[in-house]
Amino acid sequence: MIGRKFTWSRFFLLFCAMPLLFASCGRKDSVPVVQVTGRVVYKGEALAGASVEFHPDSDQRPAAAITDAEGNFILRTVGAKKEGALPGTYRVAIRKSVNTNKERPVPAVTNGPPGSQRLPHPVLKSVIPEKWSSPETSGLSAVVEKKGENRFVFEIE
Amino acid sequence: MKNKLNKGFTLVELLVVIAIIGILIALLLPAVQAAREAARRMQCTNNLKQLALGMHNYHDVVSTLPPVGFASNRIGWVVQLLPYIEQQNLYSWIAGGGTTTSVDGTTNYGPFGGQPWDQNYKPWLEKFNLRYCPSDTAIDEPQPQYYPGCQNYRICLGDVIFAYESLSDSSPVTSKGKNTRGIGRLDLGRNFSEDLDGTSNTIMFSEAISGKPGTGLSNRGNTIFVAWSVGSIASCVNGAAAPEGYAEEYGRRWCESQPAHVGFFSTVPPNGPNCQYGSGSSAGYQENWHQIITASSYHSGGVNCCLVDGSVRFVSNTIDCGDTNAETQYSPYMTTSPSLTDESKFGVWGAYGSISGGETKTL
Repeated sequence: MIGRKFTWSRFFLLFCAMPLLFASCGRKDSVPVVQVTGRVVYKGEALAGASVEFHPDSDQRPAAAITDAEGNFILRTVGAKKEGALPGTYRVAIRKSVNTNKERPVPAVTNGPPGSQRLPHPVLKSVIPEKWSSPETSGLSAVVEKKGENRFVFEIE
Repeated sequence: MKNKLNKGFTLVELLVVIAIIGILIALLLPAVQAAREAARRMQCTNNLKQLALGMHNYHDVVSTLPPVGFASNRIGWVVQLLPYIEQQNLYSWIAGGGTTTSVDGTTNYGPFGGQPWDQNYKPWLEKFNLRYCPSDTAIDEPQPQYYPGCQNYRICLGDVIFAYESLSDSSPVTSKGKNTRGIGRLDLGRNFSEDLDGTSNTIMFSEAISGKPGTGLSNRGNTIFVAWSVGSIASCVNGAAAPEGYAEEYGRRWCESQPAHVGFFSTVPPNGPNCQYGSGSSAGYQENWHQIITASSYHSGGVNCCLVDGSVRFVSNTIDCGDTNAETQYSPYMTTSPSLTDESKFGVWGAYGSISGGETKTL
C-alpha cells in the first residue's frame, strides 16, 4: 500500500517536471541585450517625444527609443526579445522634429480604393538645435556595460 | 482470489504506461513539428525558385523583368508574370475582360479592367499555390473589403526608402518615387544588365507574412506594423515606437503594385518591424507610400531569399544590417532620385538588396 502510494506521487512529480524540463531546452536570445534606460533634459526641462538614437562604434546593431512625457526612455534593439541594447560604445543622437506641412490628406479619387486618402509629404522642422540630431556633431556618447546599471541622462541646451 | 487479482491492470501499471507514452509523445512531437516546418520551408523555397524561373522566362521574351507595377492601372508584377508561371488561363481571362469576369455578372470589364482592390472582379479572387508560403495560413481566412487575396512573395525594392510616389504621377521613371536601388522598379522593368553587382549578389524575392485586417498585427498577432512619428524613423526601425492603428491590410492584395502588398526593402533585418509614417486611425483609411516594408516569415530564425540568378538562400534574422539608425540620414522625403552606385549603409542585407552598390560582401 505504501509502495503504491509512493509510485503515484513519483509519477505525479515526473509529470509536473516534464514540461519544465522541455521548457529549459528553449533557445537563447540571438541578440543578447542588456537593459538601458535614461532621460533627456533640454534646457532644464524634460524633453518628451524625442527620438534617442544609439549609433554603435563597432559593427553591431544600433538601438533607439522615444522619450515619454517625463523625458524617460528605454532603449530597444531590433531582433532582441527583451528591451535593451547590446553592450558596447555608442555615439548618441537626439532628434525631435515637427511636421510644418499644414496640407490636409487628399482623397484618392481615381487611383485608390473608395474612401482612401493620401498623406501629403511631411516637411520636417527640428525643435531643438540641429547639432543634436547627428551622432557626428552631438558629441554625446554612451558606454553600455554588460553588468551593472545602464542609465544615461543627457542634458542638452 | 488469485483469479480476481489477475483480471485487469492495477492503477500503478496504468500510470506507468501513460507516463511512458507521455514521455514518448513529448519527445517526438517537437521533432514531428520541426519536420513538418522543414517540409513547408522546402515548399516555400521551391515556390521562390519557380517564380525566379518565371522571371527569367519573362526576361527572355520581353528583354526586361516585369515592372513592380504600372502607373496607369496600379496592377503589379504578379499579374505580368502569370503566363510564365503556368497561369496562362488566368492571364487570358484578365486580358480578355467582359462580363464573365464579374462576380455579380453584370459589370462589363475591359481588358485589365479590374482595379486591384475590386472584389467584384473574379480573376482577383482566384487562388494559386505560387502566391503562398505554406507556413502562413492567412490564405484560408476571409478577406476584408478591398483586399482580394494574399501574397507572400515580395520583390526587392532596394535598401533605400523614399516617398514611394503616387503611381498616377506622370513623372519620368527615373524620378524620385519611381526609381529604386533594387531589382524592382515602377513602370519600367529592369533588365539583367543593370544588375552590376551580379545576379548572384542581388536579392530578387523574399517573403512576408500577411497582416491581420485593421490592425498593426500579423495574422498570428505579432506586432508587425509600427507607426513612426515625425523625425524618429530610427525608433520605428528598432521597434521602439508604440504601434498605432494601421488600417492598411498588409500583403492582402496580390494584384497590386504597392510595396506594402508585393514589395520589401532590405533595410530593417528580417522579421523586424514594418514602419509607416502617420497612423491609419487619424483619418480613417489612408493610402500611404511612406513605408519601410520588411521581409518576414513564420520559418524559425529567418526568411527565404531568392537571388536574381534563381538560387534560394535562407537569411538569418541576425544578418549584418549595418547601422539601421542611418535610415534617419537617408531622408525618406528625398527630392532627388537615389544614387544607384553608393555603397549600401545597411550591411550585407543592404548590399544584397542593391543592384549596383559595388559592395563585396557575401551572404
